[in-house]
Amino acid sequence: MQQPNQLGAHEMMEVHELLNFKTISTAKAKAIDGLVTDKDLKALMQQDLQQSMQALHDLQALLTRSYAQ
Amino acid sequence: MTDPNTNANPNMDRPLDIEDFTNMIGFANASAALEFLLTVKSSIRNTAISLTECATPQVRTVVHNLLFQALDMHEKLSQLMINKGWLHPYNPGEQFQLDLKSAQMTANIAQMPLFKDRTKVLETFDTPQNPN
Repeated sequence: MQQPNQLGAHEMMEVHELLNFKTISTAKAKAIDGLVTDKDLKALMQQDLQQSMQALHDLQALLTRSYAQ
Repeated sequence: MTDPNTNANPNMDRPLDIEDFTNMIGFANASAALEFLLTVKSSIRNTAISLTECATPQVRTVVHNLLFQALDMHEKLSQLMINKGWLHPYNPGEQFQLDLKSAQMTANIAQMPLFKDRTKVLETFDTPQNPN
């Protein structure tokens, strides 16, 4: 029986892929933020950036907990 | 495209940001919005596919939240782009014209030697730098 705290190997790969995707899209969003002058678009991008940082935190938490087992 | 050996005006001999580029700011906003939209769409696909491979409840919760956040973001962003006239989902003809125009404009910008060759930057330091 698998421990509820431990991730399956395939799940770790999925979370890892999502983490990489989120990392790069956050970096790209931050870089492109400098081009944007439209106020509404900027507000939406800021909201996305906040959500991305939270997502990075959550995904990292899943991975580090899994490595610690 | 980069030109390593010149400090000249990157737009050849024509002045920057006059007639050709009066709508550069609008174009930059539209391009940034399109890039954002493509990223959100990829994010929706990636998270949805990931969710079908996950069993652990904590993982499912996180990935599920990512998926629904991305779906909400897609709804808000596509509505904003429709309002700004950057996206015409009910008028494919107009969308095609717009996309062809920005493709052409982007291809023209890609032809310009805008940046110096960054690979030579390391040689200008007095102390050796490790490029990796």
